Amino acid sequence: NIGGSTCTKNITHTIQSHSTKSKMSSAKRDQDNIGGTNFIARGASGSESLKQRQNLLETKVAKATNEEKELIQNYLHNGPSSSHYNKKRRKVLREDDKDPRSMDKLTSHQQRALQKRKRLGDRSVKADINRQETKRLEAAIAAADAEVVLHTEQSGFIEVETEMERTYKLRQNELKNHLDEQTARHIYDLKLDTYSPYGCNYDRSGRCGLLYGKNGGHIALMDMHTASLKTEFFLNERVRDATFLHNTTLFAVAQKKHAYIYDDSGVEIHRMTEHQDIFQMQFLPHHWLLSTIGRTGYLKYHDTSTGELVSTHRTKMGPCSVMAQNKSNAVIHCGHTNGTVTLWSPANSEYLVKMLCHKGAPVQSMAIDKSGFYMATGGADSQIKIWDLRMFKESHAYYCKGGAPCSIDISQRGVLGIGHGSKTTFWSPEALKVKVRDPYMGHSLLGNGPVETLRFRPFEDVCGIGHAKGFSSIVIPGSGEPNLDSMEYNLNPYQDSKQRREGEVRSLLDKLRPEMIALDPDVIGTVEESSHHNRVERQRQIEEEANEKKLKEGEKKPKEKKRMRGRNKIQKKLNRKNRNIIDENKLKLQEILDKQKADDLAKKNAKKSGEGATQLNTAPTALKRFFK
Amino acid sequence: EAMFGNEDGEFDDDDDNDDDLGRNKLSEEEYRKRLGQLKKMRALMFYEEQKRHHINKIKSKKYRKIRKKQKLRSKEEEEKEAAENDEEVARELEEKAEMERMKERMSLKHRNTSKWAKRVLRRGGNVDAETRKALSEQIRIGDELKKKMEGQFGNSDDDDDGETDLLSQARNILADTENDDRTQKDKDTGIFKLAFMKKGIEAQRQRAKEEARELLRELEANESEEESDTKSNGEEGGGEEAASKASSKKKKTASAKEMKGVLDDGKLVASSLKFGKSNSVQVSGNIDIGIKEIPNESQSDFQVEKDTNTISLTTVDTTDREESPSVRSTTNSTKTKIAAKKVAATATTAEGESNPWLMPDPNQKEKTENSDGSKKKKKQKSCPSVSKQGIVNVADAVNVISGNDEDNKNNNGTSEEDEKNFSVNKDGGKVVDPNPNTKIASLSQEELVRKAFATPSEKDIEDEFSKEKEAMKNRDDHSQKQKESSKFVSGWGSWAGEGAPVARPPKKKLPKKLAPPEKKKTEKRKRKDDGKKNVIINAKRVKKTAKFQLQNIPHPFSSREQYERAMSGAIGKEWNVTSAVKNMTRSEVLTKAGKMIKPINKKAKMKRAPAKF
Repeated sequence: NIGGSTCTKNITHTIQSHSTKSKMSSAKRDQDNIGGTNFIARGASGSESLKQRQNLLETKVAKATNEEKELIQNYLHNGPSSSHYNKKRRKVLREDDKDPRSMDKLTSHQQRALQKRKRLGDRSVKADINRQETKRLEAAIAAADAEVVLHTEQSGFIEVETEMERTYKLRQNELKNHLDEQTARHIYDLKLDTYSPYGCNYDRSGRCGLLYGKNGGHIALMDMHTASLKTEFFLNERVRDATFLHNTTLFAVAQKKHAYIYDDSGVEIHRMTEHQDIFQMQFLPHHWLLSTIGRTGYLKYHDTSTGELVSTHRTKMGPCSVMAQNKSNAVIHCGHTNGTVTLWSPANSEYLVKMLCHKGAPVQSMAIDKSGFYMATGGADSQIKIWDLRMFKESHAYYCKGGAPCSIDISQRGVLGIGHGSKTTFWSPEALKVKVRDPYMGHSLLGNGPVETLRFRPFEDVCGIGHAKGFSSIVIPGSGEPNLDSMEYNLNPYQDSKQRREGEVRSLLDKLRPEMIALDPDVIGTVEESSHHNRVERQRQIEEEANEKKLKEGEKKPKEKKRMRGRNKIQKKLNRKNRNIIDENKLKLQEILDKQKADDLAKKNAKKSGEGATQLNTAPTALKRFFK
Repeated sequence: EAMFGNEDGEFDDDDDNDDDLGRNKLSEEEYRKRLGQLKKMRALMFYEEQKRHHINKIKSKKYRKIRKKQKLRSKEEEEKEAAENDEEVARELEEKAEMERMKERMSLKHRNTSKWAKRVLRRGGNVDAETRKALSEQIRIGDELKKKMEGQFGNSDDDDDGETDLLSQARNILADTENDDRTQKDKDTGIFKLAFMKKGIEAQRQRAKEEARELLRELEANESEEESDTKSNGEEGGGEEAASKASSKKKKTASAKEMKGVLDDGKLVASSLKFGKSNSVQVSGNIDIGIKEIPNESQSDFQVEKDTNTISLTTVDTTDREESPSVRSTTNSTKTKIAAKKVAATATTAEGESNPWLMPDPNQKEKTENSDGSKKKKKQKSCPSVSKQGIVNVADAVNVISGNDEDNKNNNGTSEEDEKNFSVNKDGGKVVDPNPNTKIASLSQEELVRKAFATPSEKDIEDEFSKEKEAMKNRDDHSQKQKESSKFVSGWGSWAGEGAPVARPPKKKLPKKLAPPEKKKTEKRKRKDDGKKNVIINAKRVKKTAKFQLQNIPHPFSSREQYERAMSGAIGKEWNVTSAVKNMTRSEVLTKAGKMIKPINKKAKMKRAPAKF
């Protein structure tokens, strides 16, 4: 069973089909007196203890309920979206590895090395992976356990007592009677008709809300818990959108001409002249990117931590006033007037995906659920279309009575809220997965004009509706996430200023690079697919890059080598330099040399002269000087 | 030469014997003289030699160029002379020139398509003067060649009578100035608005125009004289017809040979007659009004009666006493001319009745472009309004057909109604009422709106989308591209023609056993959006994101999947419970504080004790 690479498959398999095999094995383990405790005694070897541990975990998983199993699965694969992408990618990779051509691409040496590696390294690597995966499974189980403990709050939807009752018939004033006082407080209307229509936006923790009167520029920053005004100011200018940045201390406002950043006391911090005529803004918290799009149809990404404009994409699809972000992978979705939706990342100047959602009708509103699986688009044709983003496939559609959908939002728990005309309709989370007959709830604005924006408040069962007469807050039971994650930065509505500061720094440290945004968020750090086309493309891109570099730098002349041999030896070089310098020393030497030469000559002559030479030779050295 | 050829006694002098040095018959004086001459000659030669040597040493390019040109010029002259004298030489020269031209054309040097020329052009203004000159020289040669070609094959008609060309040019210029005159008036601003300034300018302009007209008249007169000289006067016919014919012939311009027939038919012909708003009249052609053939129809817009017979254009003067002097002079000139021509025209008024479609704007002018496209001429159409007294208001009434003789010829065949209406269309004759709006007008309001705000049908949208998808597919499919790039046409790259080496026979296919395995064709790229109708998924590799990916499997792993599995899963505290984080980030070697750590030793390597849990 510990046979290496198949191990995880087995584990996941057992999780899925727990009923038969694992029950048997659990019975066995009971006999071995291992089960029941979390403690595994030290075995004879590592592998043995690992085996025991695996068995233990298996039994644990097998005993778990279906919900628990799902939880464990989620934790094991970093959430549902991740698991989906991982599975998909691995499938591709497996095929890739099987492809004999990938082996052909290697040189014979590399091939041999690879084979050797397979032969020798496989066992240890497999064992390593096995151990890691066991650990991971254990961690997942622990996390699932902890969730049971930590998630104290329960969320629930309105349930009917009889068949004849309809949840969507329930009015807010009726609902108010059943709610606890704390929640009932969230049902209110704000009459603000001088600067209407109003838009609204919540920060990620749901603590603060931003109301902006589009006509005349009234900006109000509200503390939504206490329903009190924090800041209020007037811009005397048309405001098209406003959004919080990383926390509630800063927010960006798309005004008539430029985008501005204000702080929570209403002081203008920045004017971003690069962004002109903006219709929509989105802030990507993990990348610190503010993305904007507007009349020109240019999608711009601005890093709010460094102040740099990261990238500008020309959508080539005219003015765009619909934008949403996919929170699971930070991809920006833009809805266009020709009925298409395009997906963008800062790294790619072309769209990642283009979908034809509404034929012949402009896309008017769009929302993506938290998991990144479902997208809902509303077109001018009064249709709400639900798309499965895993397959990029339209799953089903709803028809909107009483006006085209002008604003859509999906709550944390998956409630789909639609504002159309002067009505709002809410669909249960099931409605994203399958077509549901009746909506979950509804709310009509009763003469308060058409809906401008509809936003769910995070971590509360509240939905804010900005409309032509101001702002309304209503309660949609079951829409918000009941359990807070106080550890995540800026997600805690109760964080104090110290925590906020801490979170700011931490999130800056953990900031992701803009290029890391991709359709598959887990693609970072993996091995690239190596199909033929990919290889060709990669090669081409490398070539292009090299050429660009060369062009940029200009070709360098090969530098002349300094060889330290022969003529170019240092000593020789020096000598050459000094050859024509005549100093005293040299003169002296020259003189000596001359003298010596003369002596030699004389000697020679003497030798030649014969007799004298013999005498000279025989004569003692002291007398030699007399011979001349 | 005479100096040196003395030894053989080639001297022709009578007293060569006396001169002979060898015979000692030369007197001292003479000898000296001779010697002196000789010396001088030598010195001269030496000087010449030195000079030539010196000249040869000159490196100045400019000097060389001048020199070369000088030489060429002298040579050309010589050749010309020779050609004039000798026919054979002339022919030879011609051939030579032809050859040169052919060479030039073959070499394509002049086309600026050579690598060198392209480079120079690309470098633009940075090239030095020499290169630029060389290039311009090439261009010049090219132009010349082009001219030559056009000269051979092009419209020789235009070229063969330069005189008329000149004339027409002059006319055009004059007409243009007149036009300018009109437009100028509107533009007057500032200081030019003042009355005296205006007057001054006007006077100046008039003077200039007058001069121009004078010149034109002279030119025309010259021409007509020439024409009359060349043409024999003997052509005479009988009767009125013949007389008119003769008269017309006299005044015919050189380019108006085709006119003969036209004139007979009684057409009003004026090669260029202009009327400005200022009542100035210029007659720059011949006016021939043949009355004979004009049908006597009471219904016709322009009624012509034979009885009233003549209107001399002199009446113009009487109508407008306060004309500018220039106008008067021109009208005078026309008068004289017309008198000489004995042109008679009959016209009675057709009061009230006039061409309905000319009525609203009787002075309507139409500019039409000549069919040749080379020259612009103006046509004026005006409704004939001849007063009862038989006075022709020239400005209004005389309809002028100004046009090319050619056009008139073309119009010859067309109906006479055209003639009557004085609407002469240059291009084809008939005036077609262009009414393109009728179609649009016939559409209903509803249809118009639908047309204006048409939304594409669902099918169109889908088609467009699928087209885009297809384009994307083709862009990303590399196998397709490689195929395209490897396309080659058979026959290219091998020699052909006479004397070409024998083409290699096609390679024999090896038997199947020996043949190498066939290469697998790269299949079409599989795409994620295959089978998804309304979705395009970009398959292009994102370079920036690929930076964060590995291209090869890192060391201990033998497959991609294995690596992926080993790497997957988060170990941070954001994703895990504290105990799990601790467990997963536990260091490999755990030692208690104070425990001795032995140095690495192969023998000392022991199996790590399993972890406690």
